[in-house]
Amino acid sequence: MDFKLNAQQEEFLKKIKKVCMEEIAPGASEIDSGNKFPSENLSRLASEGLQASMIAGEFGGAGNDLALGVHAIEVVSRACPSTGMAVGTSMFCIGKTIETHATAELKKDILPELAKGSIIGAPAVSEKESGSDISYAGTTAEKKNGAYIINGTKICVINATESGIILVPAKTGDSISLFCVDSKTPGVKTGDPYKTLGLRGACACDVIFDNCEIPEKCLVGAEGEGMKIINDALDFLRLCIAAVANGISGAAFDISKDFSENEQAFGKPLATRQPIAFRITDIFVETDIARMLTYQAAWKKSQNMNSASFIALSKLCASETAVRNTNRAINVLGGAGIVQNCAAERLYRDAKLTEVLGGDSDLMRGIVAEDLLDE
Amino acid sequence: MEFTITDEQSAFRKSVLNFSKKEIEPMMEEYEKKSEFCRPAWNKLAEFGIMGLPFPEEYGGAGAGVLTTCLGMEALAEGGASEGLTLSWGAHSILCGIPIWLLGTEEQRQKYLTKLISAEWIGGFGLTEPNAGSDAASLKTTAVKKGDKYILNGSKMFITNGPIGNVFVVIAVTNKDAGHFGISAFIVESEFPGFSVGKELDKMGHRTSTTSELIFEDCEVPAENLIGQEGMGFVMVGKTTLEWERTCLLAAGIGSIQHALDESVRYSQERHQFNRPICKFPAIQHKLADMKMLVEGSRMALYRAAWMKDQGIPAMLEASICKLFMSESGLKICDNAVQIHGGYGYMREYPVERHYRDTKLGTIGAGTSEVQRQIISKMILNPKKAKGGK
Repeated sequence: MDFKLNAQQEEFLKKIKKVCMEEIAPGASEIDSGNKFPSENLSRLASEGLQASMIAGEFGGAGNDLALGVHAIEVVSRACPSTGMAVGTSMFCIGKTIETHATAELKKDILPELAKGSIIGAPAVSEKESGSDISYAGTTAEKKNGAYIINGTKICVINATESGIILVPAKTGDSISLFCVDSKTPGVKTGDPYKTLGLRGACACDVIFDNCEIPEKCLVGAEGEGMKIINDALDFLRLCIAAVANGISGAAFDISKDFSENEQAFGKPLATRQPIAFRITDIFVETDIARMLTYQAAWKKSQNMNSASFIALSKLCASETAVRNTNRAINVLGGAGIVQNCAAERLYRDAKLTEVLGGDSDLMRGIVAEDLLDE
Repeated sequence: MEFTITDEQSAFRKSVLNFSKKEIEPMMEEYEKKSEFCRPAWNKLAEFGIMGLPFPEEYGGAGAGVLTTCLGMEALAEGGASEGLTLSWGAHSILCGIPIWLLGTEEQRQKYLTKLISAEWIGGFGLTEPNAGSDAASLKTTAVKKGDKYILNGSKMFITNGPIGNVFVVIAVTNKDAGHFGISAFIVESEFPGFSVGKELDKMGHRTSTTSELIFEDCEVPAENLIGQEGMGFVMVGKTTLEWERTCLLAAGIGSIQHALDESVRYSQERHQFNRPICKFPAIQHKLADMKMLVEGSRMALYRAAWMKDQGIPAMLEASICKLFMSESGLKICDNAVQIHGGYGYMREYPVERHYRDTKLGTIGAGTSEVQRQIISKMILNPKKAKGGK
């Protein structure tokens, strides 16, 4: 057992945290109100080595494991959840999936670019007729003269407006295969960004593939083995979402602590009022538990343990905890917490998305239960 | 970061689990029904070495670390040992044994700790009084030094192992003007003149552990039975015991909620309604998933606090988090366990009925949930002084 990161990892996180608190947090509200993709934040974080942190050394990365990754995304999300979601989705769901399953050639093409932060990845899994049911894909990939022709429409694709590569499951015959598509390929069109409840900076939109021709090397894993790989990609995505949710919980704690220590009511700081102090204690305790589960889930995944249900469990815990905690933060701040674009109000909206994205809480409970009943 | 236990710890955990399933669990139902202390099980625990888990080998202990001790207690409860039995162990080995080991003199250790470890004697701990729980400032039991003796007067309430104990660590006021620094700890044998035990208390749960009041009427305690220095009883014993209490004593709780979950999984697979096992219904599945989430969260909180103690890192905050989260999770888990069992869960012969009653003590004993929240909030919040005029 060792519940601590090593000194080098601590140092790295300290560096990221400094940039996040000083440079990224102040702009979080503007990113939200402007539905604005946080490109500058991602570039700044790339210059600190965030995007390279989990990529193997041979591809220009630092080779850290997923446990450090979820710590880092949590730190970023504590300053700006939209930024955490955007960069985390690319690092986890795209970067780790490519690193685990793509051919050597594709890895060599893509991973160094992801590490430098010069491209961003987007997962295009959901379709209008199916969200979490990944066995269904209306999108098709037809093999023709050593290339694949992709046709179909994906919805709710995070990062798609700015992405360099898109990960797309599509039907090849009767089975599903996974493709990594360069977003500049002719035939790839992105729709307008959605106006979402929260995480508005991690802009999602439709992606349309209209006779989009891609070379064969863009197949990730073997043809027909897409389901297995998408499940892996979803594990990575859920770890990222859990980390974002933990960052949101941490931010809910920060604003509650700060407000209660400094604001007076009836001549005393709010923090001396038992209901307020206990509410903040609950934020602290539940965040702490969700974090430990997330760290352990990430560690298990890094160790190649059978971890899908533990990841689902940590995503379930972290996202529902974030929803409860941002609710509590508003109750601590009172009137100051319900004004549009104040941190509490924004975090409250952001938290809700972590419950829904990457498979909702019902689905997570189903995965956890299935594993329990299987043992 | 690294989240595995060692091979030795894993093997030890497994051996305790097997021992508990085979030797302890079969005896529990009968004693639970009789609401009686299960002495045969107690003796088996001693034979297996459970009494001396955390203590050095020179006193007959196993010299296990905090985490290993926790794993052992977890496995004991997971295997089916009742909460009552593990609570008796906690009062005996942790609350009575730990202060004697860590704060006592070598003579005290040789005389008392060895007897606790061999289970020749049963131990207990007396802090709470009829009118003072976590508010130590209102303690009324006094100890006045007379020659080479202290004379104790007062009473202690809700004392686990009270009716059967041979020796107790007792907290009493030696200087009522010195606040927390006027409180001392004593080793009191049940044979000392002036010591008596009230009637056995009838409890909601933990029915295989006995509880009573301890009464001191001019009770004579030899001066050499003072633990540590006079006036340091509350500070030292509190500090030394609390982290142990909120790790090792709680560890059995993890085993119990795991047991409640295991029983619920099994029952949901066996029980058929509407032509299918009830585990096929999402409403049941989601309850199981929530239980699993709370079990795993509690387990992490426990292992972290235990690991920190093993590393010598202060763990007051983490131990309180563990106590608060685990006990409140226990209530939710056992509520779901009974709900999944339906009518059968309400019946005495099903262990989840027992868990439901037993788990309630978690949010009360060793500092209520409210006290834990108070402790944690003091550690994490630092209110600025009020600005004048408002």
